[in-house]
Parts: sequence; C-alpha cells; structure tokens
Amino acid sequence: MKNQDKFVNEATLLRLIAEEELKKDKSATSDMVEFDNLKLIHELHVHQIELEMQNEELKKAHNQAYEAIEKYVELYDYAPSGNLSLSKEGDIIELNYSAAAMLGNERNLLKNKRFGLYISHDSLGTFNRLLDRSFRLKEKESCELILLHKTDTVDKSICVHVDAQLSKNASKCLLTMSDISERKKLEIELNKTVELLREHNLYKP
Amino acid sequence: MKNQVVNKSKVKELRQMAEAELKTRKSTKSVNEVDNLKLMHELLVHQIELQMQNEELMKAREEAEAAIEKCVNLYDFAPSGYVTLSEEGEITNLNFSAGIMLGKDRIHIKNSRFGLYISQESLELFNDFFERIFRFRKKQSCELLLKSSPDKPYYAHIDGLVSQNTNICMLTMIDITERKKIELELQKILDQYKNLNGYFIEREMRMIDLKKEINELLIKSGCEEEYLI
Repeated sequence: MKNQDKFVNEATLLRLIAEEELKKDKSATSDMVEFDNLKLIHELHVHQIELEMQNEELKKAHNQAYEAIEKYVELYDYAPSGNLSLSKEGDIIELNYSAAAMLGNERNLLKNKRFGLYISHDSLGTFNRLLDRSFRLKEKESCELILLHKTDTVDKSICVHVDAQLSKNASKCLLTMSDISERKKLEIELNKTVELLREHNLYKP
Repeated sequence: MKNQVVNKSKVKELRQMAEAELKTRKSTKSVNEVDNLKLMHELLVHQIELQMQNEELMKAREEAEAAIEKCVNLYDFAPSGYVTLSEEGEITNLNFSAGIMLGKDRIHIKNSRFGLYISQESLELFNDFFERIFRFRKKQSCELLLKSSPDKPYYAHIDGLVSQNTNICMLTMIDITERKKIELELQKILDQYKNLNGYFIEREMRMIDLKKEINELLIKSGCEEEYLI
C-alpha cells in the first residue's frame, strides 16, 4: 500500500513535470511562431512597398512613353509632306493626312488599297520600277509621279516628287511625297518657250 | 548582360527604399496572433494584386516601347528630310535625311538656327516663307539654296506647316538640285534668246529710222518716197 502510494505519487509528480515541460515547450514554440509571423509580416510589408514603388515607376515610364508616341504620331500624321508605307505588293499599309489629301480620299478608306489605283497610267511603269528597286537594292530611290486626284468636286492630276526607302526591318517601303505641281508647270512652260524659240530662230545662241 | 546588372542594383535600391518607407509607416502598437494572421492574409492578397498590376504595367511598357520604336523608325529613317522648328526658328528635332541635307551631324545641328544652313541669296525667301507658315497656318512651300557643301549648290524644295496642338513648325525637305540645274540651264538659254531678240529688234528699229531718213531726203530733193513703212 505504502509502495503503491509512493508509486502513484511519483507518477503524479512525473506527469506534473511533463506537463510543466510541455507547457514550457509550447510557450517556446508559440513564441517561435509569433516571431516567425512577425518576420514574415515584415517581409511582406517590405515587398508590398517595393511593388508599389515599382508600379509607380512603371506608370511614370508608361506616361513618358505615351508622350513620346504622341509627339511622333503628330510629326508623322500632320507632316506637310505625304507619308505612306507600302507593302511589297504596293498596298498602302499606313498613311498620313497630307498623303490622303493628295490621293483625294479619307485616310481610313485608303488603308489596304493598292497605291497604283491612284497613279496616272503614264506613271505606273515608273512607280513599279521604284518599288521593285527599293525592295531589291534597299537604297533610297526617287522619282516623279503623276497622281490622279479625284474627289466629288475635283478631277485633276498632281505632280509629286517621291522619295522611297525600305524600312529598317525591310518589311515595307516608306514613301514621302511632295507636291511639285507648281514647279512642274513652270518647267513645262520654260521648256515650251525655249523649244519655240529654237524652232523659229535662225540664229542659235 | 549590362541590363541585368542595372536591374539587380535597381532591385536592391528599391528594397532599401521600401524598408525605409516601412519604418515610417509601422505602427508601434503590438498585435496579437489572430491579428497577425489576418494581417498576413490581407498582405498576401494585396501583394498578389500588386503583382498582377505590375505585370500589366510591364506589358504596357513593352507595347509602348515597341510603338515608340515604330514611330522613331518612321520619322528617323524617312527618305525625306524632316525638321521641326521653334517659333524663333531654332531646330528642335530632325531626322537623318535632314542631317545629310544640311551637311552636318544630327547632334550638332539640334538647337541651332535653321537660317544658318541657308545661303545668303535664299535667306529673304526663307524668312518670308517662315512668316507665312505662322500667319496662314496652312501648308506653305518654297525653294531654297542650302549651304551644305561649299563647292556645289544644293537646292531643296521645302514644305512647311504649323502643328495644330503645339506651336511647332514642321518642315519637310526634298532634294531638287538636278531639276533646278536643268531649269537654270534653260533659263540661261532663254536669256540668250531674249538678248538676241532684243538685238534684232534694235537692228530693225534702226533700219526703220534709216528708211524714214531716206524717204525724207528723197522728198526734199523732189523725188518720190521709196520705202513703205
């Protein structure tokens, strides 16, 4: 009996010790968990702010890019000369307002149309050679074309000087057109006058 | 490779800035475990939100950069010369073709006056053209002799326009030297004919005068007029 009592007492004691130990342990792990959580929260906070800052910078960069694009688009769209990009087949890929005005149609309606449709019959050969040489030789080419400027109210031809150059990735041909109708008229007049004088003068200067 | 290094240092810099920012934001009150878990959850959600936003922004930036490159190619490598001028006539932008036409490196041309590249004899024409662009706000044209090379003339046909939104003047230039040469040649021939014709007319007038004189002398000496004038 006494032995048994002793045994029981010992067991209780052991249990108490174990529980005490466990409690100690538990509080230790909970401390650990709490500490880890705090660390994690700190990490998350830092990362969040990092992301926020990065986002700010990206937004700023995006705005700057957008401004640059706007500037260039204006320089292209509203340039005083006609700007066109043509595919190898001679289809209009893009064009600016001046080019559309020269061709006598709206910009949107001209996209994907064949540029040859707007060139006078006499100039078609010159244009085809220009496009072919541009894609083949990859050098700047120039020529003079007569455009058919047909609208509801006007039906006339325009004389344009064309400079052509292949784009950097060689996918399309960049053309700029300048209206030189006035100059062409003067040249023709001058030529006519000189020819007339040559014909009727016995004395040649 | 270089980009990666730059990116790494950039990331490090961002992290330092974020830590500093956190220090100023952190509240001093202690939080219990439940709050921590809730906070952690919220932070995780917000983090994912931010990451998604970040990815979208990156994509937008890439698209913008591609668009810029396309625009730059269209402008910089255009076959004609493009120049933009301020209201004072200073060059604010130009493309490669324009640089070649003006006969100098692109960087050296920026911010200089466009008038510097025009020959003395064309300056007045240019000033008039420049003034017309701003006055009429419609496309104006002119032909100028440029100073690009001292030994041979360089003629350009220039179209100019003021942009709608900003008050900058956009010019496009094409080389018309060859046709100008032919024109000048023809003009010379025409001038020679004019001189020749002038000479013939003078000679004819003199003949008429002489005939008149002879007629008068004949009448004085009692004879009949010989020439019908």
